[in-house]
Amino acid sequence: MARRRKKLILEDPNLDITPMIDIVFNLLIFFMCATKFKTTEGFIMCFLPKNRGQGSGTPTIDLNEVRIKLLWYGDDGKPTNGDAGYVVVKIGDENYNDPGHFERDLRSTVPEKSPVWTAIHDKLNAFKAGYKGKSDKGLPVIIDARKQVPTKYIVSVLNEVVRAGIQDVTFAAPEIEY
Amino acid sequence: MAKRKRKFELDPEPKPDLTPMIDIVFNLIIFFMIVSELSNLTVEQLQLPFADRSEEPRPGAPEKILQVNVMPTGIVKIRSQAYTGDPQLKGKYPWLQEFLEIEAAGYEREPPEPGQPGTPPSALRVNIRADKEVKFQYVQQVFDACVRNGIYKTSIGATRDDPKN
Repeated sequence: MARRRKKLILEDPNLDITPMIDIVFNLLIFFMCATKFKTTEGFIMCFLPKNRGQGSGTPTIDLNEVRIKLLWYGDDGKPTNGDAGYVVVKIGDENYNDPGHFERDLRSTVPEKSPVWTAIHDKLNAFKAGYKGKSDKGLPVIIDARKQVPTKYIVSVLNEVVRAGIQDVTFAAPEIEY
Repeated sequence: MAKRKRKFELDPEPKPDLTPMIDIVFNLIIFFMIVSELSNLTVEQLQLPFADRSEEPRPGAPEKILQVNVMPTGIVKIRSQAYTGDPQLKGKYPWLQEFLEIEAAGYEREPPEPGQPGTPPSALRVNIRADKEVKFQYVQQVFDACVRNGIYKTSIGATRDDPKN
């Protein structure tokens, strides 16, 4: 008697991938929400005076120093202590902008790109070339900013000081109010 | 003649091929895992001022840097903890100068310069990340707290991304 052959049935294994897809989508959403893209962040070094703690000595003054002033003027065009006002950049007696210049400047709506900074850079280069002091670090520059001035303007000045290759930069101490 | 009933056959269940979708999703996950900074507690989300001459941090530099974030409100945040250097807020938040005194004590002191009897300079470096619109007075307060504790190595954080017109 002929033996009847048993038919071999191949079963297709049914793998349920739904939970895996759920988890993978959750992970994707989590990473998309939690991601902070790395920005190109840098820093500008500013060395503070050493040994200015308690009982320190008096610092020496170089008469050839350049003082960049960032003043705070009110709507009346005079210095103010109020919160509302405009930045005015000065070196010596020379004004580099009028009150409200950064806000009105039509060539650039971004104060960081204002031509004021190029003018300051050129002036610093001229001072550097004509420096006759004896300091090893070269021309000393003091950045003297009023307390109300937004930090971006101080960083813009510092940026131009660094661009001019000046190494001796100091921040003036804040005014003491009576 | 009896009509033979035709057997009604159901089409096999349509099975969409999910393989390409899963490939793409996995690639997306790997991308987000690489670019994300998940637990950087030392750096707050701030709008930094622009400075194209700012230096890039050197990877693997040996010196330790304390990140001091000056928020738009003037509050100082270090490792997600709020501090103040403003005398008007002295009771509300921990005093920044006291924190820096403790922090600087954990670092070596450099030999004092001859003729300068003040606090010997600290080897600690402080990076001040200030919001670009914050008043400079709050940055000055951080400088002041640093100077009083002999911390002279400071830097100001800035972005190198060109601000758009």
